[in-house]
Amino acid sequence: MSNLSDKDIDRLSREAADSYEPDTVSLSWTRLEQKLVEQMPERPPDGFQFGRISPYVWGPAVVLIAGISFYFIKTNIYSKLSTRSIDPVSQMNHVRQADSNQSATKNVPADSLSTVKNAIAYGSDHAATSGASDAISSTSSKAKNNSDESASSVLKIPGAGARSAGRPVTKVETGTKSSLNGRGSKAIIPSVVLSTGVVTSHELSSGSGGSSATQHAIENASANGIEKSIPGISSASTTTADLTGTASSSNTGSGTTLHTASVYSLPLIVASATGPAMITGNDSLLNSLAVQKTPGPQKTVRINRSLSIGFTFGADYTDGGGISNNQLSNNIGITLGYYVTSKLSVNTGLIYSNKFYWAPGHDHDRPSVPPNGTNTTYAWAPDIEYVNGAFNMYEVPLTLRYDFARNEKTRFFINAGASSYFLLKQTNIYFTHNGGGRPVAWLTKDESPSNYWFGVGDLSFGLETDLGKGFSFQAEPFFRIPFQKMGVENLKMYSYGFMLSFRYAPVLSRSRK
Amino acid sequence: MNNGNHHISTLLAGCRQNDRASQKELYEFLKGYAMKICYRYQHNQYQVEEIVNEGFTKFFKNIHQFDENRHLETSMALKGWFKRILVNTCIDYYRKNSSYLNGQTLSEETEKIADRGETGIDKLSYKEIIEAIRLLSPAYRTVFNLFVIEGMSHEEIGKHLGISVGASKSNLSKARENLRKILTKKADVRTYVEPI
Repeated sequence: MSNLSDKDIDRLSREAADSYEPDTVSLSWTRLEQKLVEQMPERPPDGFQFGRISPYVWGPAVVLIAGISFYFIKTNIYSKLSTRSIDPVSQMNHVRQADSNQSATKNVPADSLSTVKNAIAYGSDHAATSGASDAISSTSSKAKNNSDESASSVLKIPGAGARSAGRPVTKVETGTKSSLNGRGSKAIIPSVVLSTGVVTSHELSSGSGGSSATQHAIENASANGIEKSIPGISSASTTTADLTGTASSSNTGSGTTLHTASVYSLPLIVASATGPAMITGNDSLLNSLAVQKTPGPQKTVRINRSLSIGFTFGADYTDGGGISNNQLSNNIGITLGYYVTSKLSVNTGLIYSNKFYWAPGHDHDRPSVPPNGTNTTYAWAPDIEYVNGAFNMYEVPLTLRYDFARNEKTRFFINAGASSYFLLKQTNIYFTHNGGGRPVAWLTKDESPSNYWFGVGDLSFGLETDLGKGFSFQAEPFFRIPFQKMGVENLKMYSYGFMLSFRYAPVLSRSRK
Repeated sequence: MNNGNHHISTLLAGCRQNDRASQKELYEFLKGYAMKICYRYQHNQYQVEEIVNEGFTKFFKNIHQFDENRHLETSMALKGWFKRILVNTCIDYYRKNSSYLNGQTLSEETEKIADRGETGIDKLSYKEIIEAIRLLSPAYRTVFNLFVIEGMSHEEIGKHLGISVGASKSNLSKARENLRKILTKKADVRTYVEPI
């Protein structure tokens, strides 16, 4: 054996170190766990993961998610489900322009002076003057008989008739599709320039005097304050009347014979030579545009939505005795409400809660320390300094809600009642120092269920806003006051929180009156 | 193998969250390995357990420093990382108690082992060799373990233990000499009891 060299010793030692497996029976997880609890206190093992995240992170996240959800529901679902009636004028497709994408679909009252925005067709039986004839012939050459002109056609009318009123009409921008009948000499002139930029065109057949008088009349009408603009009309292309009808004449009383050359006639604003502007003609076009809404027999449908069911979630700060808590408790569950009267409702629900808390030691009974590597039996613990714990429980609230204010879509309420706590599990970590000044902590779990009927008072207020079709969103800050001491430590649990709910009120019945 | 890696990664993730269940499972997975290492450094069984627990505590506290994604074989990499923690824990323990351990030499019984010059080393079991190492004095045992088994240089050993390179070499030499005596005695006994 004396020939055992250093290399042999090293080799044998390495082989032995690699291969030998010592007995591990003496190792105990319990002892290590005690060490870990002491040096690395664990959060209570149960509960949602997000409950362990800093409330400064997930609190705003919940609010953000709720806001996005609300926006989504309101903008997408509600708009699709909305039953608001379509604007009547938008149904008048036959008078819409080809480029009427921008047209405002305002309901135009037919008999209102301020709504006159369309073309005023007028003309004259008189022969056109030479100047006017040039203009007319120019126009006629561009405008084929019974043919459609391009909507963007621009015609220049240098005619004397047009100028005779001292108001040069140099450009006609129709923006509309006009159909000209070729009877007689016709020109298209702008008669009324709408403040919104609409230039409407009109058929004119007039002699020199007529042309001048008509133009003058229009000017007078303008000078007399007759509205040329149509409030609320923003479209550049508004109405096209099919002007292929037989012209009819009318006397304006000012020496000018006007021919309304359309199937639909419009109120005509003209100026009287002796008096203020008058309206002549009829408003059959506008009448035709007006929605024929004949109200049917009036019946009232009563819809009973007294019952509401909801999904609720939220967070709260639980105070177990004055020590600041770095964890938010979380709640999730369903709710049920029933309106006893129009303003008063009874509400209940089933909410699963994880309540995390810190509490001072003096509030606690002194729990015994379970056996561990050092102690073989339960031993009384030294004075506890503080406790970090968690309740896992169901909560059943029973509250009475009063809607004290209401507007079209939102109700404001106050809610009061009591909640029952049904504890499923309680986990506590106790912290203290031993005789040597060394920090000691140990963990206990109590899985025996405990029921606390109406153990806390419940007070809340909030608002509920309708989302349509029976859906609503509710925000409700709450405050819970203990009526009883709870848990193995006999804690008084105060909670301050915020609950968000989505509720649905089904139609229970419909009745007609 | 991938499933094994995935499982260990899951446990590591749990340990990073300070999840007791994950810690316990990883403890069960590694405790034999930890015992194997620490057992060589301490003669007293209670101290071995204490060092193992201390090593696990350090392991769990620093688990976030281990990046399993950098290694193909998570299990082996984890063991290698854990081994360094355990060896350092053993060194720390030795240094903490070196004031009264350094002067300790071989027990009287060990010193009296005679060199009978006979063979029988092949009959020694691994356990006997490890137990022989544990019989060495703490200073010799620690240097021997670090140099022979962990593969450290004398400079590193001196740095870790706070001793000179010469002291490290001297301790190693004496450790081998004493180990040779112990193993020879064991082999002699075995030869005597179980003659070939």
